[in-house]
Amino acid sequence: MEKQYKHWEDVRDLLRNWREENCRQSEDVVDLWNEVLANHFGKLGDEGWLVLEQVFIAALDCHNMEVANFCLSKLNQEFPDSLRVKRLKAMKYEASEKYEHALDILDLIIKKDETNAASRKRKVTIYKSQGMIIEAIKELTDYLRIFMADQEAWMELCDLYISQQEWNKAAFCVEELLLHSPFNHLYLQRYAEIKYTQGGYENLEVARSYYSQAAKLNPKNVRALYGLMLTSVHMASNSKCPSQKKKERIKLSEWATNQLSQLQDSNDSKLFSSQILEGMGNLQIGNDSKN
Amino acid sequence: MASTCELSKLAYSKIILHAFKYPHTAINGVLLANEGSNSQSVKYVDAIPLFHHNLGLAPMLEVALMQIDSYCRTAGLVIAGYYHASEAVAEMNPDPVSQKICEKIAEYFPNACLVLINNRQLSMQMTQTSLSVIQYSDGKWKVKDKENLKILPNNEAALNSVSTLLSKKLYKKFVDFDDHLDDIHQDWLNVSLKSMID
Repeated sequence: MEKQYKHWEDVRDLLRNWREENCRQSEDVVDLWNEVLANHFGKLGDEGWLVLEQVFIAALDCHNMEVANFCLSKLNQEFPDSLRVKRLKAMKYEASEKYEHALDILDLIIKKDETNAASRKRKVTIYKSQGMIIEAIKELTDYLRIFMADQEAWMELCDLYISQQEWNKAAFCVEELLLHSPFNHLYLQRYAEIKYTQGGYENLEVARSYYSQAAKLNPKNVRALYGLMLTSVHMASNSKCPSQKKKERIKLSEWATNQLSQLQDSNDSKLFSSQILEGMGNLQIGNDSKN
Repeated sequence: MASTCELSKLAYSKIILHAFKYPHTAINGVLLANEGSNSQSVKYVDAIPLFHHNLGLAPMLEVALMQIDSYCRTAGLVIAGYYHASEAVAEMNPDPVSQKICEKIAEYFPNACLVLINNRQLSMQMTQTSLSVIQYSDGKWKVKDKENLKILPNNEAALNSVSTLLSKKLYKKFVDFDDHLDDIHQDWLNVSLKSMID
């Protein structure tokens, strides 16, 4: 955060931007609140409550309980019976690691309002914070049975499965995401990464095709380009690869390497590509024939 | 056979800066030692931060290790260790992914160390090294005693130095390999930060 935002209206607009884009800039939010907005709270009008919520969550992220308590008390004063504020109270307990209290509040909210998605998701994070990944996965899968269209939840479930090295289930989550957004290059790239990690010639083939699609949709996706290069070279050196396809693979990997060097504005692009191709043989971490 | 594990101020600072840049996710990175290092008493002279998303996925890890390997050959270094901070604040055990990566590193550098960050001990004013080390030797993981982990020139000086870096919020300018993949112009070697750390 290099620029000094002196005017409260600029800060208000910046926070609105971050709210809309769901950015996690907690330190900056709290600093801006303390330095600028706190003195101009009255001028914010109805947006002030959204800002308070945003600052509250940012303060919890930074463990700045003073600011968090201030925001929560103001919100509680204005909206005493609100389930949304109750959920914020549960988050405060979560931040203080008082997970039982947090769970009690969340269960109460869910009992009162079964459609309250956010509270259910907070239960997942409580399990995750305690390192209880299996329980978090169970809670999240139960949630997704009801709220099937929640892309954020499918992505989170995918991350949880990856941490447990359950590649098939992680791939399934990304498949759900691809059903919603088949032209999202990031989902395509993620699917390819999971398939690559699973290993085996057939999975490499799938990975290559998904990386290709991702690179086609966004030629600047560096991970997709690297992935193309890796999959092509691995497949070309695999005995299962038919010889006419070998030449195609090698050409594809050269194309990807050139794209990468162009992106990097590298003057010695040949050095760059030979360095990478040279190292190809040495390191292979993924599960080749296991999973 | 108590072998010591030493971290240079640069390596230690980079580990802590990486942890502070992404306090809400797991992070990992590799540790570099001088070529021809004695694996009994290893001194890590540098650290290269890797990822803060999906540490378990293989392709980008392979790309990163290849590039780091290339760099090492020009700089007379070797990949000799690995560091990791868990996502959950209380987690003190290495996860299977970290173990697998470190075992792979140990194939090339025997007795590679896995440095774990103790999340609870981190603070803006560092008073403890906040690290614990386990070493992979003879196919087994062994926890190292605290006395066998040293930060150079000495723990106190390093902690003061890191605390100064944190107060200046230098972690905002820190670049890991994930950042480089998001924007290829970002320098994962953090060359510009190096002069500020020394």
